[in-house]
Amino acid sequence: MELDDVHSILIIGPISSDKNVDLSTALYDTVDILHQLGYKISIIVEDPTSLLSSGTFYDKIVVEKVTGDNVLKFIQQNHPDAILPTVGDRNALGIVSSLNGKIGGVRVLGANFAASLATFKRELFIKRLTKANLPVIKFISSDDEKEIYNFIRAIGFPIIARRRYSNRHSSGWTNINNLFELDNFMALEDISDTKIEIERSIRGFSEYSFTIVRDRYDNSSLIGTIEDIEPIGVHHLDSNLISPAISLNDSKLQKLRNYSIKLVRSFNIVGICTVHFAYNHETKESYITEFIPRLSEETKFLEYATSYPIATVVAELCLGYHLDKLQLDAGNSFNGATEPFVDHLTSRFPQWKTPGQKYLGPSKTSDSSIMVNGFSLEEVLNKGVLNDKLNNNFERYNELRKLDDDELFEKIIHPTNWMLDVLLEAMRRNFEKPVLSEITGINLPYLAALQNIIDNSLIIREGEIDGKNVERMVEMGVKGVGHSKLLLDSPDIVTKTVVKNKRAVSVANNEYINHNYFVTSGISNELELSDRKKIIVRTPIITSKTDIMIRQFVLFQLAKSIDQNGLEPIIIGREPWNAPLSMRRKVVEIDDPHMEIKSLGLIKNESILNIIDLSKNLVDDEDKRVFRFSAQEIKNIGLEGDTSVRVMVVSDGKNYLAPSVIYQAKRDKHLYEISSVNNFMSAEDRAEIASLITQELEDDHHVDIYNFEMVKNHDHWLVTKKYRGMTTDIIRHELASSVHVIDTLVKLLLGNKIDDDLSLEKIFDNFDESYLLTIDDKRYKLLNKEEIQTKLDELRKSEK
Amino acid sequence: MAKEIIDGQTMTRALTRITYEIIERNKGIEDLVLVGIKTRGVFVAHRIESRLKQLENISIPVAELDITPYRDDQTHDETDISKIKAEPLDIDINDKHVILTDDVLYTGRTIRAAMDALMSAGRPKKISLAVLVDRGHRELPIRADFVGKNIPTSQKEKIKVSMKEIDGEDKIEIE
Amino acid sequence: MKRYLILEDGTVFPGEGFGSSIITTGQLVISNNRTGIEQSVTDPDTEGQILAFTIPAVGNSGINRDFYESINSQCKGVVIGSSSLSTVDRSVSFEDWITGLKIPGIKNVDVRALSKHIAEHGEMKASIMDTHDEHAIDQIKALVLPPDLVKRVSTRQSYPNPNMGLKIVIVDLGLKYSILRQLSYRDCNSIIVNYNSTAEEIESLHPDGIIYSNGPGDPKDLPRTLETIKILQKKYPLLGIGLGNLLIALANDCQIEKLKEPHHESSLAVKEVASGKIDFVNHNHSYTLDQKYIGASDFIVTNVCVADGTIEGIRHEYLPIMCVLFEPEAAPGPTDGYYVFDEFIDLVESAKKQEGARSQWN
Repeated sequence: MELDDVHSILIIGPISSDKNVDLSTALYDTVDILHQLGYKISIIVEDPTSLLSSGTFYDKIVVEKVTGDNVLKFIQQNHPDAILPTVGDRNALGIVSSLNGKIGGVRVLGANFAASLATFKRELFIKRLTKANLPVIKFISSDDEKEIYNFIRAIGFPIIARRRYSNRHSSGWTNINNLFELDNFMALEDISDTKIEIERSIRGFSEYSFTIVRDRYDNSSLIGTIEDIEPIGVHHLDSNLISPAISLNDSKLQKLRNYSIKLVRSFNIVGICTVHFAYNHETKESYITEFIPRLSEETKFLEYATSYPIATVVAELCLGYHLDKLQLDAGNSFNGATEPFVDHLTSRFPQWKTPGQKYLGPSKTSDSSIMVNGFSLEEVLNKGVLNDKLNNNFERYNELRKLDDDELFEKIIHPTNWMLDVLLEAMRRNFEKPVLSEITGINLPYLAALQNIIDNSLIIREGEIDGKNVERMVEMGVKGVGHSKLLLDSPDIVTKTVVKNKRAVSVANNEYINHNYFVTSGISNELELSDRKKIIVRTPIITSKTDIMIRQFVLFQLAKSIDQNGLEPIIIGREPWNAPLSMRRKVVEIDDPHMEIKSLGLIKNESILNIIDLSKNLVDDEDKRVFRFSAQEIKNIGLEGDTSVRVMVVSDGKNYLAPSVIYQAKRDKHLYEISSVNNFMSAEDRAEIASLITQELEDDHHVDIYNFEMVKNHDHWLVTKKYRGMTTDIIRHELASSVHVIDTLVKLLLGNKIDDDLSLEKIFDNFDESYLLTIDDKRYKLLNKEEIQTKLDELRKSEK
Repeated sequence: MAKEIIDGQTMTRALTRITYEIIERNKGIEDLVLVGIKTRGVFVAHRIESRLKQLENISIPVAELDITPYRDDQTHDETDISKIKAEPLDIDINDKHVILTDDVLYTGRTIRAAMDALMSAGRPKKISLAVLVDRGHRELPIRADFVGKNIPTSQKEKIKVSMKEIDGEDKIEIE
Repeated sequence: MKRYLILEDGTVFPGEGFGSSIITTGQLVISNNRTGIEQSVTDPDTEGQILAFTIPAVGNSGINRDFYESINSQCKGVVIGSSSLSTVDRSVSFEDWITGLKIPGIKNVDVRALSKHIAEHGEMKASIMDTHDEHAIDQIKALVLPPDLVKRVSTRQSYPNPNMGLKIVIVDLGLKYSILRQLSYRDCNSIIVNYNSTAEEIESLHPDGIIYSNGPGDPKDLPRTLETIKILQKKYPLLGIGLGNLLIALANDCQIEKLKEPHHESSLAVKEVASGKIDFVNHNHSYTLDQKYIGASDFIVTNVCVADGTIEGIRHEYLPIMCVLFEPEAAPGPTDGYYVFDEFIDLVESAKKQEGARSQWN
């Protein structure tokens, strides 16, 4: 039974910040299902390119700063029945907690006021959890010395403490382990109006997170569990993560599961919530440290690890659907009442843009992450955090080898992102494992797994692989041996590199099919392909959020187009791609951290029509079918101007189309960009630009995409830059042009041709009705034809 | 301050148990009629009805009975029961087995008024009583056939039943 | 040492041996339990079985001695993918534990392929051996699994689990200790008796209620127990769990059938029919109740599995009999099913009240 008083929904979109989690796929899935279920959807968003779609799902797209005031303004003007903050990251919950009492009967879906507020206000969090009899870390905030000392006497050392000033700022947390350190802290200069905050220190505890979905009828299900390899003290997202949490025995798991469900129930959260725990395996103490009542990095990770369609499910639960009676799309039912069972491990390890060691602490420093799958700890470690291709572990090894024992010990005490490499080196020198575990807070099984890697593998040792150890090595996911001929040709039944589905075998949800695979070890392959001809898309590792978004977008458009043209899209990458749900059943996704799939010979060579490669450097450009997708600079004359255009061109080798032109103007220290100005260009401009392109493409006779930059110089256009391949402008071009560049490209690759002798109108054809204005690369506005004309006139008037 | 003594889950279980007992003690539930005393007794009746329907695939008629002045959480001075005029029932109870439902059983006066109203509306074969909570302190010789939970209380205390349909959540509090 | 898991149909899975090096044969069961290896290995339900666990990094969480479900281990062998060589709580490692129990084990097996094979071809016999030649396969085919599984796990002598509350007699068909833990928690004064105890023997204990426990094998191998149920069910409130449920159904002219996809998973959703409430509970059964017969009987269906619609719980319309096919005592798995014991206690207490005067024994 859906909520019958909700028909129109305002989604609080993400803010555009590189710090934010990329939830673009989750947002797409959410909007897709709401649209299919017939709801009227609006969104307030800062960067419309993050929507992954050209906006057909939306009734209104408001491009504004995502703030409480703007949300309130929208509500007052448009009276939506409900607002949905679950896809808006942390900012959206802040907005919800600020709207308390201001929005009348408008429903808040997914997270309510109290839950949102408690994620920000420590005091409220502690009060609510204590009332519900849930374990929270004892905490005091006081300026009364007597009270403070009473509290410390009651909880004992170790504690952490900080000063909170009247301006609401605070000092960083200080670790206090003994009387001496306490005296030092208390003796610091006392500023009036300062409160001292103290809590029990949980540094070194193991960290776990549990994600629960819950419907309006109080049915809850545990979607997944995650454990951090690094202990509390290192930020969760800077830690190496493993799912499911394998170090919890039955009673520990059930205890934390029951706490999580109790918390979700006590806040009456309908939708999703991730609950974080600190657990001490020695004393069996556990505390709830945090809860997140929205989609997040954790839910993204779990959706990838378990294939449970979290974003879609959450949207429906918020609207009152029963957990066991959901829909994947209109008409396709799904039983969400399952606690997904995974028989494999998924690991997420953080990535930093710059090389070198980074000290880790309570604040996040990593820029992105990569996920890998496997059937053993050794395998996921070797494919992930110890994968030399991704992390230069060999270099780390060489550097650490040079240290003396004292210097190495220093590295053990102060955690860096090299921690596992440091531990490997320490164990090679026979440092004792229990001591290492005690100091680092990394649990023994991980050290045992590292030891196993040292003992069995050649990962960074000289040596050869032979029939004796190769099988073991493949099981451990050691790089480079996965496709060993020794194993592929063996007549015996042996464990070798194979491709397995990410979906586990269980009684539940057998009808929910998807084609997410990973390369691992085993005796049989599960890769199932259709009879259709295939286009393979190979994707590289990416570390910045902007690039991740572009990849999400490009892959989605490519997969869609390949499928629509009657072919089977196969996406292969060192790291996985999480396709939007609507695409997930049509596309074959293979995670291949060591790039072994080609050697396995599972995809028949003759069934492959093309290989679209998104990497910067190609490994096999001699293969005629390989199409290099990413941009290569062909020409750059280093000239800049105040007025310029960027033109995207698709060519079949003979004729071309230029469906998207971006106008760029530098005025008064501001940079203005207007997408698809095609419809506002004069005939002279078109003719001139077209002739320049024709000239530039004279010697190119292949299907390709080109990007040109042309500067206006003395009333004439001058080509200043030329790229072959797709630049980062693609989202703006694609969203703006009604002729889909990516789809056109796929069609041309398949042998279709552009008509001869097209008129200029046809070459520059574009049917857009709303236009994107970008200011200084960070502020966006969506304007209609009149508004954009005015803006263009104004900019053109000031052309020099 | 109100203290929650029964949570939503326990209430759900209690209603399910009452339903099982109704089935157990009535060979064939075809001639059953549920009559809920307003307000929360009606929800109790509907919840039992939906459970019976799920389990036995039979729809039992549900009627509402309004005898507001007799609710035990209001001060009950010596009102003359004969003056109370209940609204007529919209279902036939002649020769039926009527199960009267209410949230709290206290003095028994409400139930008595309800029985009077039932008798004036027809001639049931049998009347049984199902309540979510029996809190004691009877002033009349009335006993419930089906009890969700027995809760010993002092007369000074108040029992507050919340139900999802009207209060947003299921719980029973004592204050 | 390289060893092989060989199935009755001749399929061979290679792996590495650990634990005892003896050759072993049994019914192969795929367990999708997330946790509680200790519980599964010591569960009397697994008598005569070779257990294949599909979870990765088995044993990482350590071996908890508080989780034993019987004094001795019962299963004939364990099959796993990867295992952890050390434990988070510094207890004995999984492989050492299995070695100590003298159980043969095989690891680094492609358990995904194994479980898919079983899902497709049904449960079958298997053997852990050192070679995989024709001879070995013939041996497995020839082997007949003994039908007296319950006899081997049921207690020979009655014993008490004393407390001060309701008197409950538990007929041990392969009882898990966690059922006793749940009864202790509810102050029940329990006595556990052999599966072949007669009605008179049980009546002489003057119980308030009787529980027919979980257990291994096919209920049709237990005709005497069946007859006892027919007598006792008219006089006492009954709770049937797992095998106990199947027996109670058979005693009332219902039929059972083998599940196409057996339920061996520590967290599967079950729906309470009356309220629509969904609970996650531990399942460990290869049989289910035949819908047609239940429909025609005096039983009503109280619980169903959300994933495949299997009946998971029944209740007699007029007699105080309730049954569940899943394992309400969890161990391992979510604790959502504990309420079944509360309901049984309610059932027993209300039956006592119905009798009017209190029992002469109080």
